[in-house]
This record gives sequence, C-alpha cells and structure tokens, in this order.
Amino acid sequence: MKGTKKKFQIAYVFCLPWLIGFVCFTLFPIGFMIYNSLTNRKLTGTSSFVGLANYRNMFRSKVFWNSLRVTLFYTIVMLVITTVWALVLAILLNNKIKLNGLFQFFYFLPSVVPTVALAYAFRTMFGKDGGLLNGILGNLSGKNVTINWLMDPKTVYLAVFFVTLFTYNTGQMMLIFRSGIADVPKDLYEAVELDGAGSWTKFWHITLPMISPLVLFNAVNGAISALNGSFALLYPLSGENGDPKGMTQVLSLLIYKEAFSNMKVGYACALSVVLFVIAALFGIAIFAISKKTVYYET
Amino acid sequence: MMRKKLVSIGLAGTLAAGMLSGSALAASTEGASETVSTGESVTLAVWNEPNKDDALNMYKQCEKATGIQVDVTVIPESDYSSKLNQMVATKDSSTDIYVVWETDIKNFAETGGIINLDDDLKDSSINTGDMIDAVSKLTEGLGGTYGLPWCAAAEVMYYNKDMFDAAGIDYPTNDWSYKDFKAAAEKLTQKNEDGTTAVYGMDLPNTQTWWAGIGGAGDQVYDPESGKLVIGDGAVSFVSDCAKMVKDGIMPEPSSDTSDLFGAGKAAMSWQGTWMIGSYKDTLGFNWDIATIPTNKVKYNTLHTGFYTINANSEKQDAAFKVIEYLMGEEGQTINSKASGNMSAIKSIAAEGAWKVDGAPVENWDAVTDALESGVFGYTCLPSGVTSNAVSEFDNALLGQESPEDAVKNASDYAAETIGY
Repeated sequence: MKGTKKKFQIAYVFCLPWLIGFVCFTLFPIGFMIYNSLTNRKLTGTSSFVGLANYRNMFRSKVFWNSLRVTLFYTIVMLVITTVWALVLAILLNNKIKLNGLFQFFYFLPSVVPTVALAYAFRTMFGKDGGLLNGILGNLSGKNVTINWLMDPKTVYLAVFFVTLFTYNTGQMMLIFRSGIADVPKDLYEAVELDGAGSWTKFWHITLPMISPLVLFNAVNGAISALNGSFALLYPLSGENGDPKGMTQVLSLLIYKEAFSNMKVGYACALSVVLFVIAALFGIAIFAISKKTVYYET
Repeated sequence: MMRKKLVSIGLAGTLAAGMLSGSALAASTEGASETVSTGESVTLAVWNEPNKDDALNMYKQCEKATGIQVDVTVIPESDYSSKLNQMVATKDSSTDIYVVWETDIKNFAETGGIINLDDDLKDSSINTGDMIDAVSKLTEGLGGTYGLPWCAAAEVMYYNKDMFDAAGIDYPTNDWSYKDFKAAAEKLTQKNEDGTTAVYGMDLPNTQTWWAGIGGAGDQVYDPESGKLVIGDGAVSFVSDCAKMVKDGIMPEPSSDTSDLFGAGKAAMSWQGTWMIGSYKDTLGFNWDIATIPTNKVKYNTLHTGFYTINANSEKQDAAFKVIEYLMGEEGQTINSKASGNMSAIKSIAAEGAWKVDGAPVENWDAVTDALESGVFGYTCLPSGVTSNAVSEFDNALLGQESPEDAVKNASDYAAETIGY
C-alpha cells in the first residue's frame, strides 16, 4: 500500500513540469483574460472593475455581430476548402509516378513560408494596377484588366480563400493525409477490385473510412487554426478593418484593433472570451459529428 | 654581453618611443573630436530613422554637444503608439525619452508614465512661452508641462508644374478655392483611348489628408472638450465629391496596391504632409511646387507633432532632460528642421527659416507658414483605430459599396462606441 502511494507520488512529480507550464502559460492567461474582460483596462495598464459592461457594449455593437458572422463563415469555408485540397493533393501524391518527391516538395514549399510573408506576396499579386494576376489576365485576354481583387466584395473571398490553400496548415494536413493513405492495407483495395470497384468506390468505401480519424484530427486543428491563426493571414491582406466593408474582419482582427489601436484591452479581452468559447464549441461539435462518422480499427 | 645590453636598451627605447608616440596620437585624435564624453547615456524611442548624414543627425550632434550618448530605438510607425503604451503599462525603464504622439500624451501624463517637466524648465534655457499657439493649447489642462514639441508640421498640396504648363492652367496659389481645385483636377486628367485614366488630376487623399478635406468642408473633426470625433455634413460633402471624382476617373479608386501616384508622375496634384518636401527633392523627375490645401468653406489642415517626454521609470532623468534641452535648443531645432523640413514649434527659431529644405525646388515657401497658421490639432488626437475605421468607410463609399451618408454614419457610430471607453 505504501509502495503504491509512493509510486503515485513519483508519477505526480514527473507530471509536475507539464502541470506548472499548463498553470503558468495556459490556465493563468485564460483566467487573467476573463478577469480583464470585466474591467475597463487600457493598454497603459489603468483598470477598474466594470462588471459585464464590456459584454453589454459588445452585444450592442453591429461591428461585433458582423465580425462574429465573418468569423463563422471564414472558419467553416476555410476548414472545408483546406481539408479537401489537402486530401486531393495527398491522393495525387500517393500515385506512383516519377518525380513524386519533387511534386511533394513543390506542393509543400509555400507552406514553410511564414504566413505574413506569404500574405504580403499575395497582396502584391492581387494588386489592381501593378498586380501579377491582372497582368497575366490582361495578357491572356488582350485587354486592360483592373480587377480590384482585395477591395471588391465580389472577389475578396475568392482571393482570400485561394491564399489559404498555400498556408502551413494546408501543407501540414497534406502530409498527415499522405502518410494515412499510404498506411491503408493494400489487400482491402485488391478485394474490392475483384468485385469490380472503380476509383471513386475505392476512395469512398475504403480510403475515406480508413483515414477518418485523420480527417477528424485535421478538422479540429484546421478549425482552431482558422479561428486563431487567421490574423497573420488577413491583417496583411485586408488590414485591421477587414476591408472591404468589414467582410474579412474576423474576431482576431477586431481583437487586435480594439487592444492595440483603440487601447481598449478590457473590451478586447471580452472579445477574446467569445473567440475562446467559439473555438471550444467548434471542437465539441466536430467531436460530436465524428462519433457517427469516424471509423477506428480495433 | 655588451651587445645584449645595447639590444635591450635599444628595444626599451623603441618601446618607450612607441608608447610616447601612441599617446601623442591618441591625444591628437581626442583633440580633433569635440566630444567630451560624460560617460552617461540615454535611450530615446522614436518612429523615424535618424538622418544618415551626421551633420543632419541631431542625436549625433547632441552627443557632441552634451557628451551624453544618445541610443535611438526606432519603432515602426504602425506599432509606435501601441508599443509605447505597453512600455508605460509594464513600467519599462529601458527607454528614458519617449517622443509621444498627440493622442497619447494626456493618457501617459494621467497614468504617471511620464514626468512633469515644470521644475526642470524653471532653470532651463528652453523658452516655453514662445511656442506656437496650437501646441500650447494642446497641452493645456494637463496640470503642467509633460512634453515639449519636437517640431510642427502641416499639410499642403503638391503639384506637378509640368502638367499645369501642358494644360495651360495657372499654378495654384495659397488663396485657391476648392472650386478652382476641382475645375483644375478635371482639366488635368488625361484619358486613354479606351476611356481609362492615364494621368489623374488628383491623387487619392491619404489617411492624413482625408481630414483636411472634411475639416475644410466645415466639420470640426475633433472636439478638444469632449475628445470626440465630430463629422457630419462636411464629411458627406467631401466624400461625395471624392466619390464623383473616382467615378469620373479624375481620382484613382482605393486599392490594395495604392501607391504614390503623384511621385510616379501619374497624378497632377496630391495633398500630403510638409515632411514630404525633403523626400521629394531628391526623387521627383519633374518640376513641382507646393500651395496650401485649397479653401473650401474654411481653410483647414491638420497639424502634426510629437512631444519629447521623460519616462517616469527612467533612472537617468537628469541626463534625459539635458538631451531634451539640447534638442529643443536653437542648434537641435535647426538641425531637425534642416533634416526633416519640419518647422520648429518655437516661433523665434522657426522664423529663421531653417525648415526651407536646401535643394528643394519650392518657390512658394509661404504655403508652409500659411498652413501652420490655419492648422489645428485634429484627428491625430483620436485613437488610430477610430480614424482608420473611418478611412475604410470613406473608401467603401468611393468604391460605390455604400453611400457617403452611410459611410459617415458608420464611422461616427463606431467612434461613439469607442471613444470614452
């Protein structure tokens, strides 16, 4: 009995470094954020308790509601687009063709470029007057093409979601899918081939179920990345105001603007609490859906 | 044995001579430099790079004059205010002198982030009674002097003389009306065969000069009493005018790659800060000059400055004040004016005209003095999130995505929910 107790104590000691890190760098910041959301803290550090005033002001603000809508839309669309694209690339790379390694290198290369640098490069390409994309379209059509990609409500989402295909998140998903697809037992494919199954049937009834735990993993990661990591992509592309007309002003951009341009740290913390809750709800929802759709080999 | 002695004496003699000549060389080098180092050093935070020419680098010259080493920390302009706010919040002591913007000085003084300079100023050579009125008014109500203005800059209209000549239009004067301006902009616009614009009559207002147009159209812009954004009919009128000019191809539409079309020779006129004179003098490949921003209902432009302040947590406050005393003195202010083209906020120093940048082709220097006289501290006293949000709304109106009325209302609504937090 005494020995068992000692073993537990040793186990707790081994857990201690992680526990200290968790308390200091995760739990405390979350608690401090929630506390600050109940104050009118400014960037200079002055602060007094205001109760739920920040939340009341937030729910009255049409800027907040617009940002919430944009966040949900951006997260869902980015999640679907990047996951599907990463899966398509992984399937293509799993075909046994020459120079496969080279293709993988080129597909993955943009993913290792820092997101901010990538976004600035695309901002230049999407320029109206001197942009590369309009230049190419102009040469192909023989006309002077001046599409205002990032300022026109009709084209801004097309441009932004196109850029998401080249982010680190997509590249990472692709590698995970690729290793998952490579691990699917070949005899399963051989069995359905004997029954005359085509490529689509093989993908839908064998590949996808077998890699469904990876789809879940990538979906959760992708959702959290879209919610929290969108700032690095969207700030260079559309600025803190999420131009045009706030169409790209996700919550992370609004939080930055309120904290560092308007110096309203307390209010920004209240917005952060909302973002935290949304991220948690996304995680819960994806896990709930996955219970019915994910196949685990036991 | 004798030979060994001679060699050792010779070597010792050579060594002694070398040491003597070395110290003589060192002495002569010290004599050549005017710097008498006190061993003190201070750190100063600012958003713009010091001039590369040592003669025009006021910090280098300050080091020579005071013997205090000045380490300059350059923080990018886009993050400048928020970084300083964070430094004040964390009671950072690594920076001794902050050059603080108009929007921050009150907050910093109220939170005790910067010190009251009144005691130091009593025995100082700095003449605070000789400041331009707008600067004096800006710091009223703080309960003392917390900052000293490093310069005073205004906004003017730059124009391409070659394009005016080609169009047969008289050059703008400082009493040009807004109507004159709009008529000239239309005439100066050059179109391609397919109807697109080759040369715009007027460049897009930038984040600074939107407010000159709005103030000129009759809005107060900033109310010093309440600290609020005050825009309405004037803003609607100016935004509507710009939207029409964009629609007619007289002004470019906002885009993600909006660049300096005036500098590129693709716009005949542009409203910008006086600090651009120093940049343009070396870069523009055409004849140009300046005039005041045309007068609409009122003559209006925004004044710009920054304030030398001392960090309350600095351990070198005495040395910091000595540095500020130099920078605010005649020599420091003159060097600053020559390097930046910005006028001194001290009237007697400004009157000497060091701000008339050497080599600039400007003939109408009166435009700068006129602009300073009509200038007020306006949007620069507001949080940058409020003004950048407003400019985004105005851009939306220019692109036809919302009406000027809605753009102004949205900008006002956001300002109302933000200011006074």
